[in-house]
Amino acid sequence: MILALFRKESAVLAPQWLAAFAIVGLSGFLQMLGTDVTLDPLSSRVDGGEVANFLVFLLSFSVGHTVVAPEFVEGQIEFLDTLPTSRAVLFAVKAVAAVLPCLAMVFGSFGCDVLLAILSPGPPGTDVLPTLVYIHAVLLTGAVAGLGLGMILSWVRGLAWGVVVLGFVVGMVGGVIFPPMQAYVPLFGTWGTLEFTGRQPLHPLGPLVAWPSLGGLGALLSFLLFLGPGQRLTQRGSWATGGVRLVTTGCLSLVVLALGGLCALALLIRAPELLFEGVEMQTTEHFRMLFRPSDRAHVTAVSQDIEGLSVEVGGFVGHDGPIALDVEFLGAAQNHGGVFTGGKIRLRTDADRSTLAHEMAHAHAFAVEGPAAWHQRHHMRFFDEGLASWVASRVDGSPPIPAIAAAIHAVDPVEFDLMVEDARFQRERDLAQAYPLGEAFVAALDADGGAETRACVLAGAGEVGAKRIAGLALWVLLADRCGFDLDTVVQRMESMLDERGRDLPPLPTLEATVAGTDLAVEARERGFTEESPSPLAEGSRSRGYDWQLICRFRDNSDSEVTHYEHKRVRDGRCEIPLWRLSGTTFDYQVGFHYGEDTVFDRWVTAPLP
Amino acid sequence: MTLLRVGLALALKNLLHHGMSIAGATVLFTCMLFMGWVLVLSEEQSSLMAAATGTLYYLGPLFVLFLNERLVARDLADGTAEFLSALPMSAPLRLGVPFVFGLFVVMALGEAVLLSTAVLASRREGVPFGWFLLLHLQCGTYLLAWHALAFCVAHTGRWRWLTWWSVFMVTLSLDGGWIERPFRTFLWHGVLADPIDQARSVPPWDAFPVTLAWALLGVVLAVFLGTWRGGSLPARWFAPADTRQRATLVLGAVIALAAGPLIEESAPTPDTWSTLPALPSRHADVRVAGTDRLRAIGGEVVVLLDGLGDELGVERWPTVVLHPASRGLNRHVRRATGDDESLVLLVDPTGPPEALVREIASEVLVRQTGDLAERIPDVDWVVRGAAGYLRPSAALDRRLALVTDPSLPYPDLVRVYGRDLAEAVAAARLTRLGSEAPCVLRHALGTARGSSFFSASALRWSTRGDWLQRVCGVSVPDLPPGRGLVQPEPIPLPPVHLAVDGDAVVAELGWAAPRNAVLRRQALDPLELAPGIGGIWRVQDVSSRTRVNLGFSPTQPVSTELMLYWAPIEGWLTSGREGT
Repeated sequence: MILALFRKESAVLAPQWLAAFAIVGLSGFLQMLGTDVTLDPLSSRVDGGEVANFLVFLLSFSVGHTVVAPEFVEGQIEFLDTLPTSRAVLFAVKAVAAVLPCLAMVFGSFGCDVLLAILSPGPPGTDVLPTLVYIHAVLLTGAVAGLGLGMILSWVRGLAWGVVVLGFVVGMVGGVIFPPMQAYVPLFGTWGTLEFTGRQPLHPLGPLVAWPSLGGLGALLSFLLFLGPGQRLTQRGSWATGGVRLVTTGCLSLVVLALGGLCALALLIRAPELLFEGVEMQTTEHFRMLFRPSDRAHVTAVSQDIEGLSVEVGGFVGHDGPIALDVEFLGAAQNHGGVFTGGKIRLRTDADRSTLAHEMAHAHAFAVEGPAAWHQRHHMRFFDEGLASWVASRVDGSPPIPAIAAAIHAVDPVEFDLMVEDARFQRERDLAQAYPLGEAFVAALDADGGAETRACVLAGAGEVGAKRIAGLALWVLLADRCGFDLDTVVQRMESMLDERGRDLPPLPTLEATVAGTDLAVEARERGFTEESPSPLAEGSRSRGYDWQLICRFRDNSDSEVTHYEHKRVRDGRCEIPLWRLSGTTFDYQVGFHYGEDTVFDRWVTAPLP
Repeated sequence: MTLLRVGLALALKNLLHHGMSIAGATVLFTCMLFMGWVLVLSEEQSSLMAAATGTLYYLGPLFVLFLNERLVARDLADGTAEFLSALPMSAPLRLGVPFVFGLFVVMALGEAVLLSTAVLASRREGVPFGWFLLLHLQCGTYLLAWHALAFCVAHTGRWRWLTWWSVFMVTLSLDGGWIERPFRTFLWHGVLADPIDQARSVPPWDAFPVTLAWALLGVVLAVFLGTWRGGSLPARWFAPADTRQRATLVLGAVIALAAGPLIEESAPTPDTWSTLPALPSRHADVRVAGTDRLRAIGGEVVVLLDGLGDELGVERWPTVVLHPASRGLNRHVRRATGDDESLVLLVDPTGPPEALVREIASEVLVRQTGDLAERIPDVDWVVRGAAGYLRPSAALDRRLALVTDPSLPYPDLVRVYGRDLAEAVAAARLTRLGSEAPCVLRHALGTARGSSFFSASALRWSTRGDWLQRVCGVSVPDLPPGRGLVQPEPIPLPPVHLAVDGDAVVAELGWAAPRNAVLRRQALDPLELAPGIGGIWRVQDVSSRTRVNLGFSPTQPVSTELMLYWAPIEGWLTSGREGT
């Protein structure tokens, strides 16, 4: 009898068995396609831990969801009740049948990994077995949690998947607000993420205990429901289904409505200012200027000069034709004087001539470069921004090499291969450095043909369009096309930066160490040694110069710039914002204010205290 | 007239039947639009219209899916469609009315979003009429395509969510390798996929035909599904699913999930260096960017690799890109990884040409083993020594003379003497092997061809244990210890000892460092115990210093070594690598 019941349950779970085999097989095959596994048999297991954990969780959830409550929904329980066996035995058979495909997936994956490790063994002297056992123990927690939760949520039928989705949404949002919570979220968080020091796991224990416990509790409750009360839950229009529907859709709607209400309130507070002050307009031959009535005098002054400025800027960029644009003196994003969006220029209400020249340079450059300005942005940013800044400096009469560029170069010599790859620049240094360093590059390029060369570079990038090309390859192509020697220009840029650096005050050398939950930052005057120390206290004067030190932190190298956490150094320390960091490591960067800008040293990854 | 009356009646039925749900969804949608407005205003983004297009782009599909779930799926699942089919009205009318009704709702929503946003936006920015019209075109086409496709897929019953899931999993995996920006170029999202400012200056006209084609496809398929054999397909697919059918859906979802990475991994890697001309060669693919001097060096590398290729039977060496870098830093050749993991070497062309050729060739040979050589000591020395073996020089002999214990295993040689001296030992070992050297080289370099799993596995297995003896009948040859006597005598470097001083790690030098000595330090990733972000070595001039604060906390794993470039050996002397 029991065997027959087991066969019946296994037949029902045949698709899950197939899915388990498909996942294990495909996962093994995918590892062979990747190249990491050739260097380290564990690499993909470790890197893809969260995906594997999520898959195991999902499949186990599906098993649990299939195996218990549907007997009641489809009416088979009435037939099963006629058999000479108790519901407890029925449940036990179901539980065993359900556990098997989940275990098959975990152990199949283990076997597959062992096979891979044999075929492509790690470096001599390394034993991957303990690590593999650990990795699959984590997977097993995913299986137990998924199975138990699937069993209990199967009583609300299809809504179970809605609950899972809602859980993910709550977990993700919670993780953004309070990053340590991410450790409990499968896939998007770090429950399945495996981190090691060497081969020593650094996994938070909380999720490993909490999730299987929750799964076990779910299975137990499901068992109790299966003994009898479940019948009422699965009836159409039952209170349970209605309740869960209310919780899932109702909660979600309430949250959205509350947020919408808050936003409407914020708009009501802000809108009067927008609605009543209004916008005025002045036009010249090529430009339409929009501004607040209170800024009329300022804009009128600008309007008398704007056509001439456009011609002057166009001359510097190498674009002779006119540009016709909206220019809005109506506000710009934080830390920005203005922005050229492709279709218009938007500026701060009090934007000066130099800022307008900067944005106008972008507009003229865009007229030459076209949409490649976006497509090749990650290789051209330093040039586009550098050109605009350089033109603004020419209009303004500022020195061709900004002091900040020389300071950046003095702290960490410029690397051209990094400048032409935004992603790496951001990962290793500071993307904001593209502006001053790009300005220095344009100044260096100026000796190779002036405006004609600049226009040629822009047009060349335009011809490349959206084609995928490496940054260095693009610049070699542009140099060949425009007849300059790239290496010579880069060398010239370095010489100019070195030359400009001689006028700088002695810059500090920064040394940072993690001390408890703080970052201890020490600044020494460049050129002084430990033997003849000249420590610079924060804010102290060195040859007449104040150095304000700053730290910034990020979760990891992929974090958005807007999520970086900045901290002023006070008493030689800045607090590590642990509440903003998840995982077991974090990145930090130290720097000092120089004028209105900040010079940052490179990013360093450190263990989370 | 009758047709119109029946149509209106059907539309009224939909309104009465689903009106409350649609109103609820519209309220939620409006809340999301408010949030978009607040977000754009608080961030002072360039245009408030971005809130309208963003809300329609990301949340419009959810609204459309919900709407069609109500208008089509709910009617089919609840039997309403069956009741309607018994009424005296044609199948196209039964199908057309909910489509048009839904389209009307979606377009009205889109129009309300655009209009209300434009009214507010016009108080803070210019909203030219031509642009406003363009936004209408973009949003209208986008919503039309979504509605047509959602209407069609809603007829597929239990398969509808699996269909969406599969479409998006596959599409996401196509991104990059197979199709460049599929949401912009291939799918129906193209008209609204570009950022609003970008689309304002360069309207996405090319995307309109694609989006309209998808919309047409959706309509045609919906008509087919809804009318074929009197709508028997939806009737079958909307019949209550049994356990096995539900489980089959799960299986399908899992397979779609797994298929994504499979498609992604098997995508061809684009050659992002194709614009650089390759130097003429039989077996090598050397691309040089820059100076004539570097081209000449590249030419020498080609000669070396071609010769080695002929001898070992290697048809194609890995592609290498040479780019001049004016600062040699601590090495004349250093790797700079491109975004496609190509082997890109930054070369200081002012370095000694022979040493440059050897270093470049050496990097190519290591890449030939899929970078695996560095993990197998008895392959590493063979590969690292190959270039020196083929291009011997007096500088290499001088390097060798400085190695007092050449019997050390290769990783220890690198750690104690530095890479340059270790390579000289490796080259000398190969030379000492005499006529068996080609066998050793052939096995180490010919077994692994690239970085595929199978080639790496073959290399691992064929080089396990004492493979030199097993394969070529030789053993690692002994070399006489170098006498350390080289004219002129090298400048002795002080030993480096790492110590903890309070909260910091300091490097203590045995005595004052000579002039021009540099200290290389590298923060290791605390998890991997390997080079961290970018694998950057920080180089610091430590002339005359006896103590250097490394700027790392004691918990931070670091690696450091003192180095001095010494012209007679065309390479670097080192104090030996120290790490925590």
